[in-house]
Amino acid sequence: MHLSGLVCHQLGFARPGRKPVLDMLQARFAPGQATLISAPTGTGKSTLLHLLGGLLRPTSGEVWADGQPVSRWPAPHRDRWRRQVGMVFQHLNLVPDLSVMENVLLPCIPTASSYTALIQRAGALLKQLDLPAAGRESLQTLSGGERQRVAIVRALITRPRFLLMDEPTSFQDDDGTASLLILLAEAAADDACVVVCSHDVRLRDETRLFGQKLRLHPSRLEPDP
Amino acid sequence: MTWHPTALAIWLLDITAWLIYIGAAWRLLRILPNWQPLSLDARQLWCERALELTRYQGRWVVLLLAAAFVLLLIGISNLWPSLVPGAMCGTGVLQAMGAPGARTLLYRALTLGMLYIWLVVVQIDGCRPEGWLSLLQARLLLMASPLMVLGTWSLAQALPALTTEVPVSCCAVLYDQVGGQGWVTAWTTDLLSSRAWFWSCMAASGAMTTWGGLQGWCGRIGKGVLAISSGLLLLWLVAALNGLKFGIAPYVYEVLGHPCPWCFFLTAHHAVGFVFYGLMAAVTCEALAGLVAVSVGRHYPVLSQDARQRSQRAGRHVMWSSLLFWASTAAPVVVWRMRFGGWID
Repeated sequence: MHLSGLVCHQLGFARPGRKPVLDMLQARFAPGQATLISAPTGTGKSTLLHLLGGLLRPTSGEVWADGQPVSRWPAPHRDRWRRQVGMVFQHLNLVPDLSVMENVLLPCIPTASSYTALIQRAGALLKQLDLPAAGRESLQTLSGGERQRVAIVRALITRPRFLLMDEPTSFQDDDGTASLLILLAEAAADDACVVVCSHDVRLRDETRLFGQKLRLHPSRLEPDP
Repeated sequence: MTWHPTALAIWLLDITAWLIYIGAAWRLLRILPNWQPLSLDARQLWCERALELTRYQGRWVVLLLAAAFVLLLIGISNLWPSLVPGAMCGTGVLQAMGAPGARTLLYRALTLGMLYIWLVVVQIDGCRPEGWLSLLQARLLLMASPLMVLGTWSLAQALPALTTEVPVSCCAVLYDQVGGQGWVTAWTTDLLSSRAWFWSCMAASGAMTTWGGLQGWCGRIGKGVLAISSGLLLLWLVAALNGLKFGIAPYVYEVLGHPCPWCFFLTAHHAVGFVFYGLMAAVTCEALAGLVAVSVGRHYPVLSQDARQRSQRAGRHVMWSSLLFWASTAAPVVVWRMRFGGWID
């Protein structure tokens, strides 16, 4: 399976003793394209993103990334591959005791990038999302929307090949959403594979960015009209 | 049964290792018949997850058993002689333990050797994500079980003997027999003199250092490498063990004709046994690692590059360990020569 981007092949996931959340799912998320996945809550959107990002292991089937069956790799290899993934979690998962900049730079620890270049990029991204570029503030002092924007910058800081976002606009006003869409368009233009899970109507109504809009059912992803 | 704290600690480590090992073995026994790497079904993916878990479990087992082995050595050499009437070092303790004592050491050393081979296979396999050596790993880990059973069983037989009231003849009686009456003395004098054993040990260690250096530099994985490495390892083991007992011991103990391998561990002799035997264990383990890497590289061409790298690393480790062994064993002789200007023979 030598397809670029992310490919779900007969993907299934079930928690022990529970009904499968996903079953025999087939899908492809091409690089350079943004995909929007929507579904009612509890359908398995977050689970799908966690499977795509290598945080969960499927109980059947595979996730292929750029022609490699990454979901079946042992943890050390999967962890190394995950450095190419940028992820915005539904519950943000920021470290409350660190400052904004420290949170943003966390994914850069395993990379050998220049500190100055990272600070510059982080500052530019923070500014683009209407946050102070120095990032010295404590997370405790930020509102919910601002924290979500910090999480978005953290996902983008490493220029990830695979960008996965779970409800990234749930705390955003219209301006915040518009800024995010610009960043997503830039990432897709940079040949990243962008997958957004959301049931936000503003994203579903967006016509230019998302090349693919899908609706998730436990055993299939079908085009969302 | 002795309730000495060291014995209890060994039992605790053993029981913990066993519990972890049983968990791993249970999984491995379910993995082996169901392993189908081309399948995508839930059973195969469970096998892959379970195999990954057994790798962590196996590492804990190695760590716990190695700790138990070191404690056993410390117990036999330094702590338990006070429990056995007449014992002054490990020789007396092993005499009290009888055959199970020696068997315990042998089986446990073999278990650790087998688990080290498993560890090297896991390391080489871990270089690539495809898991080419998954089944080999599973089988190797399971193959350690008979040795583990024997090691634990002989320990259970050996430890109760420590509470004996019957005095033993320790090394002073065993080895200090004058005039070639004892078998050890006879063997020493008949085969090689003390100085000849010393030089054999030095020469073999030098050869091992050179070979390790060569392997570390070029890391070839040809058939000849296997033969030369195994042959050299065997020769070096014989030369080093006998060199220690007959060639180096007189200079450490400062007395001729006392080839006791256990007195090296006594604090009166600065516990040099831990250095000597520790370095011997390091050389042996890394030489084994080199052999395993060469073998894997020959049988799995897809892993030959990774096997070659591991073989080179093993070569470098062998070189440094045998160099240290060479230096540390030569040191007492050099010091003696500098102090008194002569040989002990």
